[in-house]
Amino acid sequence: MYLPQNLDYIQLMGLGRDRPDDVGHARVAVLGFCTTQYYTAVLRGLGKASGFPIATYEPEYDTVHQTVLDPTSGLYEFGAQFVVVLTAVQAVRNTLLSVPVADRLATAEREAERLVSILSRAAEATGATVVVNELVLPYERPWGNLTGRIDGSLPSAVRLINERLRRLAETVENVHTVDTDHVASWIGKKAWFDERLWFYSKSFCHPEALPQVAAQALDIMRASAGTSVKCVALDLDNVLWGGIVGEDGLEGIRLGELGDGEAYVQFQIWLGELRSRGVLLAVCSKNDEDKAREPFRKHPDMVLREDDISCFVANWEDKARNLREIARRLNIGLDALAFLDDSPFERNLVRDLVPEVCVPELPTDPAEYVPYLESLNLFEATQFSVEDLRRADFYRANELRASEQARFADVDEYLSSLEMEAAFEPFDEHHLPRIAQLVQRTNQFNLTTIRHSPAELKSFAQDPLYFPFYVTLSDRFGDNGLISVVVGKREGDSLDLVTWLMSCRVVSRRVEEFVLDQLVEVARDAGLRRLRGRYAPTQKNGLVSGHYERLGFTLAEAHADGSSDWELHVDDYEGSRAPIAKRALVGN
Amino acid sequence: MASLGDVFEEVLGRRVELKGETTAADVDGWDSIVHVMLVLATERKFGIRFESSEIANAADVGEFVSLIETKLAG
Repeated sequence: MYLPQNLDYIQLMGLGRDRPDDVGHARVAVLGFCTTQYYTAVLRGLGKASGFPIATYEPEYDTVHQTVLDPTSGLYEFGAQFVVVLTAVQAVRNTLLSVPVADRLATAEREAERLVSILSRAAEATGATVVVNELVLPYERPWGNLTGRIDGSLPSAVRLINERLRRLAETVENVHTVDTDHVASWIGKKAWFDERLWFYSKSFCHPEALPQVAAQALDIMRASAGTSVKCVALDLDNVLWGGIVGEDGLEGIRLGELGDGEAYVQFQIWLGELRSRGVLLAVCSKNDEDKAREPFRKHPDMVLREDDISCFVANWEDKARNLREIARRLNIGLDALAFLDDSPFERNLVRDLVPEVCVPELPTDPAEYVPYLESLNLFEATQFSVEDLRRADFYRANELRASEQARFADVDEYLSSLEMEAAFEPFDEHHLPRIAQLVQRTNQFNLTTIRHSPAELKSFAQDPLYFPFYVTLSDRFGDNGLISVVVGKREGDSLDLVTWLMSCRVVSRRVEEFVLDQLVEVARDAGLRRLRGRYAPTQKNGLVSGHYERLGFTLAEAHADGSSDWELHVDDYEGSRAPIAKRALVGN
Repeated sequence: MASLGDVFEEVLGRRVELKGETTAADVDGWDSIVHVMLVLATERKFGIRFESSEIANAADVGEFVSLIETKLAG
């Protein structure tokens, strides 16, 4: 998370102090095996400072089990969307140390089971996103440097508990863990642990460390609420290489062995890793385009190549305008962009003109780029799917399609030339992670913007009332992957379209018409007579305000809050003739 | 005493009138959580460190001030 002001824990607690009106705030319950008040106050402050305001609930001290197990506890009345569970290694160490070394791992296993069972219960009973702090590896090491090799040592036992927590997060979709030991190590364990405060007030760390550890939970919450950085827009001169290519020339820029050139290489390697995990890279540079592209094509020490850049914008327009252009071309929201530029002038201009874009500072020394950006944790994700590995290629193929399109007389001719094939299939286990991810991330082409939890999505697949489908699309430029999700529900003689969403990378390709053809067929097969759909407007889904009308639905009811209900009688439907062939597929 | 007033303001978000005989009971919001915050903010402000026994023990503001002064002198 990047915060424009550098706020310490006391300032954050101050910010979190006033909570006059919690309406519309994310609802976060904080449970702990330690004191929670310090953490919760800082979390509220961070939420406020970062534009993700939260209302909080805290039960009595050290009552995690009671709170979760008692259906009448305040937790359930509160209606938490998020449950944060604070662990403390100080609270488990004596349990572990009280048994002989030979029994430590067995005891750790039992402690882990207790923890895992209460967390699973919390995840199931609340349906909320549960965020649990892993244990910080203790500083005590009675065997000195041998400690890591001793199975029964305290650190080994704690490591085992963390292992079990991560396994839980892998298997239960709405449980996530915070790598607390990373945070503590980054700060320094000597500063993190304060035994005085543990003894006196049961604080799991020194409060100075709270902003960083609470930010991790908030990053996870934001990601699971659908807000995440999907693309990094990069300035070039003094960001990807040292010097100014337009003036110093290809041979004059610092990259590789020369001067601080190695720092730029390392930064590019870091960006390359981001790209391979699914974060898009774009270029936003004030340069002549051919000059800007030259190092990508010819410099032997460039790590990033043109293929790695999903959208390349180099011109003399202002950067605010160019960032809007990048967002438009990639079909992502401005708030899904992070912008990295070494010039404070450009950074401030963008902050002023496009406040939605995340514009972190950038250190003056390129060797500090990676550690600084790592400290911000800008790219939190709650899921990782195989699609992420291929995302940048999807967008690259889109650029090729765009250049192709110019050759055709009209759009339909162009679309036919793509030789599109789509699969329309009921949810299955294999595709659930990607389905869940699309449900979390999609903001623009999303009719109702209901963020179904992974558990809910899974339950649709087994509920005979529900008709949940995913759509994949491929064409002669390549596979677009799983790009659309529709959830229908039987209500009387209607199929109600609870959710209809689509990735923006396939907008304007008549996929929605193809999907409607399939939905009508589904309704007919199930003996249903109507399709009913709702459009619920948000800040971001104006793109689909006319969706149902375009598809031939008639308005059934317009509501005061701006939402509207639409319906279509299946007998009146003639089919779309969208230029997309249906693929009967297995696997993918 | 004046700089201790700043610490209280930083932690409580408002100015409070401190006298030597002021105790936690006299100040609205000075609970055990705020107490720890006051102790830590004082440590940071004056660059000193309290021992475990000292965190709990100061009976009133006057005693706290003389504890700080002892530490600053030592």
